[in-house]
Amino acid sequence: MEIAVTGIGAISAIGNDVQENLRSLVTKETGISKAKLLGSKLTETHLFGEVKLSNEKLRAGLNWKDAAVSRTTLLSAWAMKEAIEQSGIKIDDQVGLVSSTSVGGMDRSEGFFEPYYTEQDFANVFMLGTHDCGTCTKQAAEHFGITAYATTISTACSSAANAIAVGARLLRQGKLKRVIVGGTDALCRFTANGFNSLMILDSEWCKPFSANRAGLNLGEAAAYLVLESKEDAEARGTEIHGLVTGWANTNDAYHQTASSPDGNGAFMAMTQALEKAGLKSSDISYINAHGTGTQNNDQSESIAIHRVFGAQKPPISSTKAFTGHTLAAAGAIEAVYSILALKENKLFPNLNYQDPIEDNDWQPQLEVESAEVKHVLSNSFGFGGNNSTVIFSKA
Amino acid sequence: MYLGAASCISFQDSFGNENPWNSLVALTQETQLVQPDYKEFVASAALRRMSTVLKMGAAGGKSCLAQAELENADAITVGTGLGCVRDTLKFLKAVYEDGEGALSPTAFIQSTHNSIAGQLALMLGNHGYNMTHVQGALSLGYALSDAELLIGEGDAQTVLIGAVDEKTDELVALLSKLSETVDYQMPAIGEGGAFFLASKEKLNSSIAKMVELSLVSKTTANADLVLSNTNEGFNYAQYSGEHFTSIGFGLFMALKAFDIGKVDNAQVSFNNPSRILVHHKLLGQEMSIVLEKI
Repeated sequence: MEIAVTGIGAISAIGNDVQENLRSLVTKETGISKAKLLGSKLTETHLFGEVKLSNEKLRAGLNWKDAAVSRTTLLSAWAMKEAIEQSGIKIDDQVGLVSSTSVGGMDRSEGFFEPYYTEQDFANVFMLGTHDCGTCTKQAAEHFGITAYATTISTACSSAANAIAVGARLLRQGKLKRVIVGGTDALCRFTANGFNSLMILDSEWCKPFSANRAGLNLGEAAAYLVLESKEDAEARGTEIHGLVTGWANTNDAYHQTASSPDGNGAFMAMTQALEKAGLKSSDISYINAHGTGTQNNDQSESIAIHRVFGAQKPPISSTKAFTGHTLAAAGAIEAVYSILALKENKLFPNLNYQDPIEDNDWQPQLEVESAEVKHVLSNSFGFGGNNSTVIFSKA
Repeated sequence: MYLGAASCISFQDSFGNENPWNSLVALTQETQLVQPDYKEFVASAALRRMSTVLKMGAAGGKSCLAQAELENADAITVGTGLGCVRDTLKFLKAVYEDGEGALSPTAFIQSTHNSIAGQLALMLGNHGYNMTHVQGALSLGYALSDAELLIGEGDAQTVLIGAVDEKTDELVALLSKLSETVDYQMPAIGEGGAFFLASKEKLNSSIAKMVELSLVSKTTANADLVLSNTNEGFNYAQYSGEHFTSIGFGLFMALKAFDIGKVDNAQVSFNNPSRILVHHKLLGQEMSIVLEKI
């Protein structure tokens, strides 16, 4: 069975829908700036890829009645709505949702935790009702009437890539007819301080794959794809935006947070995804890299890419200098960009690059360029040694 | 999909116990997790940094593989409702008490939901499929479903499946306050870690076949024995305490029931069940598993 993408939806720091995201990518406009909504002390010293819409605007746009909802859920429903509307599918008992998030409703929970930990004030304890990741997905599923299957994957920064693979498998195994896959994460103080404690936040714009890179910028986003069999999509005459042809999920098994120096997990993920797709490395037209801008990831990913592609590397870029690292949503927002690359026949640039990493015999794609894009390989790697790759192909 | 080797850390004497059905003890305010000597599974230096949920993951996963006489599994899928609660609360406390100052990253690193499965992969040197599902009371259900899909697809022959949740005094206090705001009668909160080895082919350690998995309701299939967290059968949650993955204890007890065959004591009696239904219903979510003895 071939897996077709019949709807895409996205909201990120560079746009509130897919078209706005595309426009920013081709005009090289980053969304990373001083955060206005995230109430963290770190906003004074660091830049963030913040979605420009407030929770009130998101709720109004979604006609979301219940006040008990996290930003994480609102972002996810916003992007899901766009994907569902574009695909034209009807929600019935053959439709499932495979979502992903790293910290779920933490953004709302912090409204409780701050007064609780500073003044032992329990008044906002009701805010914990939307804390767990499962509740975020359950609320979004209920909003659209999805009842058959709704799960949340939480494998840190590889989450959404894994959601895409689970969705593809659900279709191939005949468990569902259509599945909405993707991920969401809202900025919150927990995550911002977590990455700050690891000392991997760049206080300026991140510089993926540049020798002088100094860390990542955090972002928030949500993106979703509607998947169904190509046969079903053709039968109902809907537009197919691309195919999901390869996927793999491996574990680096090297360190709880760091990637191995030889990029083993990443190497295996790319190799196995190519195998699943029945493609050779030379078939890949463009790599949308994980490329966070940290010393460790970009070094390890570069080595893994070299091991897979050798001297003949396709154009490579990380789009994280546009959106920031959107954690569990990264694999989904970059899936949308990969599909846009296929649809528009465009390569998207790697912003802020200055000098090559020593030992790299390549430099990333620096300009927007028209090219025939047939197959895009997208990497998503995370804490816990989780490494995943998804391959998208022209319909 | 076959299920067999299983290990379970719970409020009962379940870990490494051939017949946990004959040693069930009613819960009291003082009931604590019955924990193994973790040093048998994890180096003591690493143990000091590990929360209960990570320790249960390490010991549960390793002992399950050992019972199946396997060096490793092709894949690991873990279900957890709340993940690493202790480290999450510890890091949050530090963030607010220090006014977002310079913090140690250890608790943050160990707070991610996938650190249970990730750490297990690291300890086992397992480079295979590694997945974490976080879906409230359905978390184990989706980890089982994921394993079934992988096996169906031919991507794995063996899958190590986990169901892990920890409690802390602070968590119980928060859940209790939260319950009051919505007028919810909070059950006795438990914790536990259960691991199962699933396989495509029947192994020496295989005990039952999973013939049905519902992630939305209690299946109507006939069964000789029903294990439920409600009173619609033997109520396992009275012995495990309630938590998002308490059905892990129920599934473990079901496999042991097949293995032992006959139990007749003050709490329960059954005689060679061939079909067992395991059911969990909590906070608007409901799932059930039907197992058939092989």
